[in-house]
Amino acid sequence: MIELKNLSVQVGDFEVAAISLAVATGSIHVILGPSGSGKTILVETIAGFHKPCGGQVLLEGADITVHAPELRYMAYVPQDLALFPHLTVKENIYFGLTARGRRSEALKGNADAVAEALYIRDYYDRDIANLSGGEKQRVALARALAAGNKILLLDEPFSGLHTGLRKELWFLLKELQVRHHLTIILITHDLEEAFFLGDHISILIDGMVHQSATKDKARVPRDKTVANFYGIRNIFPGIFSEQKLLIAKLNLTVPLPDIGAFQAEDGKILDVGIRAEDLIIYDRKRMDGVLNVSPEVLSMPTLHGKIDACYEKGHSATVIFSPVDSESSLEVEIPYHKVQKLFADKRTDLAVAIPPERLFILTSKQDNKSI
Amino acid sequence: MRTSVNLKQILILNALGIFCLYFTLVVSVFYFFKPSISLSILTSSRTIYSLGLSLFAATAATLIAVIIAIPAAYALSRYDFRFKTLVDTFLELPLVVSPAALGAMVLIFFNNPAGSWINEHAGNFIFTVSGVILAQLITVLGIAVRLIKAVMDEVPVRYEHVARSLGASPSYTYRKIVLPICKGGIISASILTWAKAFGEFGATITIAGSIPNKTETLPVAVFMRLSAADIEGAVVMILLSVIIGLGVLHLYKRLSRQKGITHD
Repeated sequence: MIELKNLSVQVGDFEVAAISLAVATGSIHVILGPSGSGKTILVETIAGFHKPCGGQVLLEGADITVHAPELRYMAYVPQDLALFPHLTVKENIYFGLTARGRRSEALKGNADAVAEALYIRDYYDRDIANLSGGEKQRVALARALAAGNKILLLDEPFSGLHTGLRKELWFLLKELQVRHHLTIILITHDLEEAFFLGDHISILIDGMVHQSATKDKARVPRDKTVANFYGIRNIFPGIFSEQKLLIAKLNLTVPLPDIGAFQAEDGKILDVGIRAEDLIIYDRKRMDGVLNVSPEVLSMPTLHGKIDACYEKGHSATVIFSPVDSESSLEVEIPYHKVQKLFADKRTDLAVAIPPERLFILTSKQDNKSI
Repeated sequence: MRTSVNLKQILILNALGIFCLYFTLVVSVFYFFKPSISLSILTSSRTIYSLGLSLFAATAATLIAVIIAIPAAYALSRYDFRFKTLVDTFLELPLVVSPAALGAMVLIFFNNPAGSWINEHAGNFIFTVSGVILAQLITVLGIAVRLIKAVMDEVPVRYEHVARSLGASPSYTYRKIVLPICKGGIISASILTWAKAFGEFGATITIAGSIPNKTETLPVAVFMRLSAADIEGAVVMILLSVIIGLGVLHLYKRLSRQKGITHD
C-alpha cells in the first residue's frame, strides 16, 4: 500500500497542500482533475522528483519521503512518454535492467515476455522516431514493466491518442494490471478513462483533494467544484422542510435524499443536484413501452413540460427540458437509439421522472468538515 | 504596373544583404592578392607554424573548455544553488570585456603571488604556447558553457526522471541519458567554440605575445604583417583564416544535416 499523509509540496508559486490518500496494493488509483490542478506535481512528488515541504510518503508502512527515485521502485511514465530517443526499442525496454545491473537471461526473458504481451517484440531494432503513437505508448509501458517494477505512476499516458486506440490501450492496461498484480497511480483529466480504469478515484482541483472514493461512490460529487468539473448542470438550491426537500426553481418537492452524516435542519438551504443521465424522460400520453417506462418510474416525483433543444452526440443526446411553471430547465441525457423514438412525432406533453435516490446534496467547505 | 513586395521578400533581402556585406569584405581582399608571391608566403615555415599553432591551440582550448563546460552547464541548467545568478552573469565576462582586457587581467593575475606560484610550479604561461591555449580558453570558456547550457535546457528533464524511476543512479543517468541525448548539440557548440578560439586575437597577443615560430597564431600574424606594411602577407593570412574557419563550419553543417544532428 502507498500512503500519502498530509503531503504538501510547492513548485514555483503552485502549492499542493496536505494531501492524504491511500492506494491499495494491486489496484488502480486514479487522480482525476482539470489541467493545472497539481496532478503531475503530486505524482512527481510520489516518485521522488520534488522534495515535499511537509507530510510523508509511505510504502508498505515504511517512510520513503526522502528516498531517491531509484530506490522507490516506482516506474514513472510521463505524458510525453519520454522514450529515450538515442536508444532502440529493445534498449529502451532493457534500460531498467541495465541500470540496475541485472543482466541475467531470465530477467531479459521476462522483459521479452512483457514486450510480447504488448505486441512490440518485433519492433526491437527500430528507432523510437519510427514508431506510431500507439506503438510508443506500448514501448513506454513495456519499459516500465520490464524493469520488474510493481508500481506504475502513469501521467496521462493515453492523451493525444484517438478514441479507438485509447480504448484498446485501456483494455491492455487492465489486463496487464491483473496479470502482474500491479499497483497503478494514474493521472487523467478524462472522466471516462478515470471511471473505466480506476478502482478508486481521487478528485484533485487547485492543489486540493475534494473527494476520494471507490469508483461507485466517486460518481456522486460531494461539492459544487467537483460537480462543475464533472459537467453536471442540474444543480438547484433546495430547502429542507419536514424530511423533504423543496426545490423552488423547479417547483418540486422530493423525499429527502441520502445525506449521510449531514445534519439536516428545517429551513437550511443547500445545493441539490442530479446527473443528466439519471433522469428519465417519457411521453405522458403514450406510455406504450416506447421509452420503456415502468410503473416504478411513474411513482417517482415528476415534472411535466417540453423539449427546448436536443444536441445529438453520436452515442447519446443531451436534451434541454423545460418544465411547466418552473424557472429553470433541466438537462437530460438519453441514449442515441431513444432519440428517434422520442421525436417520432411531435411530442410536447413530455415528463421527466426524478429518481429520489439519485439526488445528491452538494456541501460547502464548512459542511464538509461536519461530514 | 507596380510590383508589390511582400514581407517574406523583404526579410530574405535583409538576410542576403548581410551575406553581401561579409562577402564583399572577403572579395575586396583579393585586390591585394598576388598569386606570384602568395605561394611562397603560404609555404613559408613562419606561415605553416602559425597555421599549425592556431589549429593546435584552438583544438586544445576547445577540448579543455568543453570538458569543463559540460558539467558546469548541466549544473546551471538543472539545479538551483546559491550564487547561481552571479555565476551565470560572470559567464558573459568574455562578451562584455574586450579580449585584450581579458588578457591583461590574466597577465595581472600572474604577477600576483598566487599567479607567480603557478608560473613557477605549474609551468610558464607568459609568451609561451601554453599561454596561447590559456588565452583562447579564457575567451571561449564562458561561451562554451552558455552554448552547452542552451543545449541542455532544450532537453526535457523528464528523460532523467524516467531513467531515475527505472533504477538509474544520477551519474548513470548523466552518462547514459543526458550526454548521449545532448551529443549533437554539444558537438555543435564545440564547433562554434573552436571557431571562436581559432579567430582569437586580443587575449593571445596580450598573454603570449607575437613571437614568430613560437606564439604567433594566424590572427596575430595578420596583425603583425599589417603592422609591417606586408599587405600581401596579411591577405594570405586572412584568406587562410577565412577558408579554414568557414570551411570547418560549412563541413559540419553538411555533416550534421546528413546525420540528423540537431543544432540547437
